[in-house]
Amino acid sequence: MSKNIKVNVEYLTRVEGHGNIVVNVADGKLQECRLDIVESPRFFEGMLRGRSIFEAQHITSRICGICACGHTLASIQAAEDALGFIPSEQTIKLRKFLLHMENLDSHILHIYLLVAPDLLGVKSFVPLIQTHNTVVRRALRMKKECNDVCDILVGRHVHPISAIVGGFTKLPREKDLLRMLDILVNLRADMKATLELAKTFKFPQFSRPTEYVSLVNDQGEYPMLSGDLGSTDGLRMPKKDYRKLTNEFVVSHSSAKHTKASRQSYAVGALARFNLNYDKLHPKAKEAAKALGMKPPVTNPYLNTVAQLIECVHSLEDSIEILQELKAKGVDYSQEVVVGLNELGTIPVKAGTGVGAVEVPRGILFHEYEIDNKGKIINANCIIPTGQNVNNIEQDMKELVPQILDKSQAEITLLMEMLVRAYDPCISCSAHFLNVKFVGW
Amino acid sequence: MSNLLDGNLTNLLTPKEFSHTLIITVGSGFRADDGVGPYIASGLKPSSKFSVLEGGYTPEDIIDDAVQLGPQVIIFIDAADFAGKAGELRLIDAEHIPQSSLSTHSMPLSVISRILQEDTKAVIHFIGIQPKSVEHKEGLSKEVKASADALVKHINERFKDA
Repeated sequence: MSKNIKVNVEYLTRVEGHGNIVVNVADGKLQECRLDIVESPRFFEGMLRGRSIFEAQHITSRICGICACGHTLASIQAAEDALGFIPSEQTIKLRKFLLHMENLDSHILHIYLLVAPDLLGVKSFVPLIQTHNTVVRRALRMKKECNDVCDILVGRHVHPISAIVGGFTKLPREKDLLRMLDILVNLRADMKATLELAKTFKFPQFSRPTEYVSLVNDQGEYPMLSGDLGSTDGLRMPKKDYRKLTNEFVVSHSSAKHTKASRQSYAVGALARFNLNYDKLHPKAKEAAKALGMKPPVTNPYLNTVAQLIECVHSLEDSIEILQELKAKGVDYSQEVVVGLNELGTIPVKAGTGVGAVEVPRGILFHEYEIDNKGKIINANCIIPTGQNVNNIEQDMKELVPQILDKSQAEITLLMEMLVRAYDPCISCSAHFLNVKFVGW
Repeated sequence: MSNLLDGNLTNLLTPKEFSHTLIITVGSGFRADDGVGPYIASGLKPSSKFSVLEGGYTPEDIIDDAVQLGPQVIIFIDAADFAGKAGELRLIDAEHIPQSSLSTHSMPLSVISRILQEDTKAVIHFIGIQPKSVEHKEGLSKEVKASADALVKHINERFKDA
């Protein structure tokens, strides 16, 4: 084949942040294939230095407008790990519920707003307003309902207020539990309609053997907040050893660091969680998986969207069960905490290092803090899921392009864009850290 | 007030017969003058001629409520940097509303207005208020607060029930 192709998508749409796709094929041979990450670094780790460990979650929440709860929880977990504080069972349940709401919100937006237009044959979400008005309204209704639950639970739609180191400053009252239950039980009808819509989606055929990474545990629950780090290549290690898994390295075309574990790259996110923890999904999520033809291992990255939908069912049903249990047992309000910056010394402070590892919508998120004996942050490190996926997306692109050379340039471009979008990248969050060496200072 | 509202704005902010107007305010009270929308919403006194919905920083969440109100006219009020004088009001054409990229993290006002237009068939307008500052702090600047107060007074007087 002597085909020459040049793809240069300079502004990839329907992803968060700025990334470019560059593909160069000469005489039928792939010369170049890159996903350029061109966002500026965010310097959040620098901002955390010198700040109290008790305010870190409010700062890191601002890393992301959609994973604000995930960053808050990873931050709190790292802080509590460093301080040696063990949260109560009730606190862990409520945190899991909060994470479920964020995952549900984010997945729904990704499925409907960013992926569905490609699968329904339109160029963006906007034409769907006319052609699929019911679908648009359903997507926005589901998003609003997740936001409303977050507002009731943690005081805001985004950037939670009441979730802090030690627990919650305000625990839901009975009327709050009933309101949230009402919202989520009603959401089931929209979830059912979403599943029916998804059954009509036809995803591109592509498969590449991939190492998938997520939290894993030996207990019965689908791991979101606890467990070891595991991979489909057999890696297993405690979360404190996360750097041995991520092995970050710098490449010249990306302001986000790349990562690799057992092989050239690895993937995190809904598909990774599905592949590693399928047995622990809620029975209704397993039913959804069966109806959608998903059974692990799945190595088609386009199907990350389907894994997200299965997780939506899991999050919804598990959330309803958490709320029903809290309603039946009653909430222990004596656990409400007033910590602030720990001026009253409510939580004993000691020097140490702690790691938080939380499964957020796009994959596993790490926060690590080193603190002094007054609780001041000396060093911080955050590794964001998209940063871990970027290298894997590139490896997928390199495998995919030679398989689709018989297609037109427009078709190739669309398939590449859809591939990147399938990972639901949050590019502006991933470009969080860059080593800058000033010469002559 | 006559200096604040030009002819187009005065005409827009005059109730029309057999027409219900919905005012949707947008903005964040944590970003200085970007909080002018929520501030205006708190001062408006809805009547049979107009309703108010405060969209805050997630205006997409009030779409269902807006559609249920069935308005004939929708007016968005938000802080907008059009290089004017702080506190200046301007009627902004729909094509000048930023068409920023849609992502899971943000839904542009242009998309929200398209959905509302499709579902309500209402005529949609945008009133921008030039901010002095949108830094991370609470409270409006003196200039923006004065304009907001005047606008609230004007709307409440014009749209009050007989």
